[in-house]
Amino acid sequence: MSTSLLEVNDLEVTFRRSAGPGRKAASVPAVRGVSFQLEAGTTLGIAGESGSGKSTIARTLMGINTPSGGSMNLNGEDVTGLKGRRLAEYRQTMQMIFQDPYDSLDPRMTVSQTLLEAIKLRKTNKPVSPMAEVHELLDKVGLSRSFASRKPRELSGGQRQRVSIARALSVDPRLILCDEAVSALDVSVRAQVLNLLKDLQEELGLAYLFISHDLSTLRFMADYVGIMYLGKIVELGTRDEIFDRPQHPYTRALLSAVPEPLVIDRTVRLPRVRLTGEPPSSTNPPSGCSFHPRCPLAQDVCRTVSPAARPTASGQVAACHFADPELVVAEA
Amino acid sequence: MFWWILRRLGQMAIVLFGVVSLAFLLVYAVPADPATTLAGPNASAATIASIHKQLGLDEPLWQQYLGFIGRLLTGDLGTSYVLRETPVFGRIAAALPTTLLVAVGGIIWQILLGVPAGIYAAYRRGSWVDRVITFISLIGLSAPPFWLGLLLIYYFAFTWGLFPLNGLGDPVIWFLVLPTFTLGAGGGAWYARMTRTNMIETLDSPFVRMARAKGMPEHVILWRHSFRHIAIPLITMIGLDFGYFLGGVVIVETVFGLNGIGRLAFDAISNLDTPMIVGTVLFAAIFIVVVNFIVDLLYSVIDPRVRLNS
Amino acid sequence: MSEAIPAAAIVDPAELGDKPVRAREVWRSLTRDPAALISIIVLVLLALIALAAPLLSPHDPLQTFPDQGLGPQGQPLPPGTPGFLLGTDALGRDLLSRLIYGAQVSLIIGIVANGLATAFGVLVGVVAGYFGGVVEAVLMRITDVVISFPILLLCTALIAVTTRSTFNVIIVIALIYWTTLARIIRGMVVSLKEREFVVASRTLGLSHRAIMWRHILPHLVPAIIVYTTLGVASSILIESALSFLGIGVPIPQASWGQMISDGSTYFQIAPWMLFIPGICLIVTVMAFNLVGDWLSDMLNSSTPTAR
Repeated sequence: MSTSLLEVNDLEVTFRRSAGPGRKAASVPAVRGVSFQLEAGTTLGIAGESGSGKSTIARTLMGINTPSGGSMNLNGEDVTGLKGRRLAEYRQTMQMIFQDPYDSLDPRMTVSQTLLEAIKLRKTNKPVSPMAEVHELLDKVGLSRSFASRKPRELSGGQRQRVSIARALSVDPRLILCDEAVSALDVSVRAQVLNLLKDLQEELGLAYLFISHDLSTLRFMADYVGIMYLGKIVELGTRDEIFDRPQHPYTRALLSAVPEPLVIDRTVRLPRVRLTGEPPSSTNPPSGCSFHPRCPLAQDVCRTVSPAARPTASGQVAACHFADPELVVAEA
Repeated sequence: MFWWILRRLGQMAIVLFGVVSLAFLLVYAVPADPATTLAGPNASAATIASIHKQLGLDEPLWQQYLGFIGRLLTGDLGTSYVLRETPVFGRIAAALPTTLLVAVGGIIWQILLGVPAGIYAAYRRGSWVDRVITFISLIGLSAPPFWLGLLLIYYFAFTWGLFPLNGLGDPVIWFLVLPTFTLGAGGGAWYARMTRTNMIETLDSPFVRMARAKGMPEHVILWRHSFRHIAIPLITMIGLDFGYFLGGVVIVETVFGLNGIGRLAFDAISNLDTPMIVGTVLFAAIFIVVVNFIVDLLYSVIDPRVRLNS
Repeated sequence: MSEAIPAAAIVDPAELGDKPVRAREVWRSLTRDPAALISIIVLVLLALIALAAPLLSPHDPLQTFPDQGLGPQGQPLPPGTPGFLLGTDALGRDLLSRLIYGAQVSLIIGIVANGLATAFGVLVGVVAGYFGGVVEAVLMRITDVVISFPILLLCTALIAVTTRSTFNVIIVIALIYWTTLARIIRGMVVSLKEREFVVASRTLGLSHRAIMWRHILPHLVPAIIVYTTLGVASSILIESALSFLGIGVPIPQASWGQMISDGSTYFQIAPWMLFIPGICLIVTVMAFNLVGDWLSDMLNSSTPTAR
């Protein structure tokens, strides 16, 4: 087994909700057995409706939430449940860019204060001249040095997100988790930030775990794409496999809902699948395949048996009883 | 729901236990000796020792404390050091009606003074009526209650002779007017402010603007729609105040010479009468805690959103 | 007791702004709020009077004038008596001098007690809110115990176990008053610590202490300023109530509460002994309340519109 940069096996995260007046205590399984690998220098995109557990995966990887099962390996080393100094070191190999550019920078600190704080926290390769590094970082993310003395409220959303990227870069991470990092930006600004991320990937060999509900963004950014539904990855494959030859009915439904002709190749037009109903509550996921109450293909088996993820004819892995099975046996 | 109530009851028990222990330890920590207070400064050492024995004060602290807690758990609050022969519970029960009357009266004043004033001020926002109400409520918040009480006595009882000076007599309500007003004035001012703020918010809200646009009469908007929205925080406040009142009527009872719980507790503290102190404090604390609980419960019944959040 | 709750509990602390407030904006908002401007002037004057008490007061506040300070039947002299501008009290002491020194005592107690309470309340609130879990449960249960203890009885009990001194009064007020702020601050911290910039600094490896100092505390400053201002008002009121119950500053020292308390015994023959210190007290407390309201308005409206 080759060592991937990041390897996540059967990750489970369960939130406990305490009882309140008129409410029972409950455990909410937010992530239910998620596995994936991420190679250095590549991008894995994760898509899914809100509440599907995408952000929980990122927050668990960062050590903000605690997994209730499974393991996480970074560079072949088990990093599940690290604490204290080790956790701090491990976190710096990974960094996160958050969703809300208006909330991810401390409004009371100038850009240089924010960046200096981060640079001084770097465990490896201690900074020699921090202020010079601030300027370097600003150059890297395409901001002029005059931004150093500004406060977040004097910046636009795109500029703030660039500062967030600079902050993430300041500790030399190998992997950056982007949690809806461009979703709050205007379309034109979004493209600039995405391009910046791509350039940085090339320049620094970064890997990205790119979480987004927006499929067109993923089509642009990702090498691999995973589709999440109710805490599980229901389909995982290369970008082209997922976008051109989706196997899971949920993936098809998501793609059908994308209006832009750019995303779906017209040559491989798929029958439109329309999603009905609301996503069920994650407190009480449906039996069998979680997707069955909304699935147009659902049969009796779907109500009782949870489908395992298995390779399909077109190459990707899908968790559906009715995905086209792979004709050739997968290589061991 | 069941578990939530159980957990809350557990929390309440912990808090009450803490309150009682704190009260007990505080008195124990007093440098002065209750026996000396009882027997007078000239008592012989033998007298003091016999009082100690009698009250169980010769035992070590932990033994006294355990014995005390044990008796408490069986519902026995003990006997007052000072007023021997009198069980603490009986004294509290005797003082309770007075305090309840004053507290309920205070709440009534609060509501009568505060709520209409707040609603009217919000409705006529920016007018001189609003300013006058705001100003008066600020005075109400800033005036020490005992000063207000004394002032009322000076004018309404002493100078103009409209009301009795102090104590309780017949008809009771006549004697209660001034004390309850004194107790309720500060709270009334506070309610006026709260109500005004909440009401302004409600009157600015989309559904009220919608109702106006549809041509609904102002009085319907004001009373049927808006009032309902401010009622919830109001109920919470009233519940909490009731708890506070029972604990905090010392001042009013002192100013107006009433023999209620507050006065009982105050005298007990001055006399280092441990069983009485702990009894009154426990009683007041039970009220605050229970009322808090009921308010929380009511809140979740009235406002279903509370159930969903956190 | 409801008067112990600061008036600003109706202010939503989450709305207090992140935007720094500039001197010019402060001045502009003051000119729009004349009541606050007057209150500030009153408070500044009061502070000056308290500081310059020995220079300003015509007599020693503790000195009794058994001959010229009392009337023929030994009654206190009314205001306007030559030599005693505001009259005398039952012991023939000069009311004006006592009032001036009383300002000193009341202000010191109000400010110091409330300062201690603020420091402690913020500490407990931040630690409880930030760490959550067991730490929070324990701290908040302690807070509940103190809150469930009838306030004045707690004061009485605490003072009964110590000796009467100004220092003890300060400590007692602080011990009682921290709970309100602790609860408010805890609530704010619970929501602050979920803000993305706080999470971000955690993922960078910033220590808990540094996060609390650099990313949490600065955001609490506007709320702390507001509640502290209002808290001084409440502390002064509590002090006066303690003095009235006979457990305030030691006799014969003058605080306004003590003076009202003295006046309460003689109000039928010398109502001015009751009125004069009472009005001073109300004006001061009102001024603190008005300034607190103004501060919270101003800090509220400076919330950045972007959010």
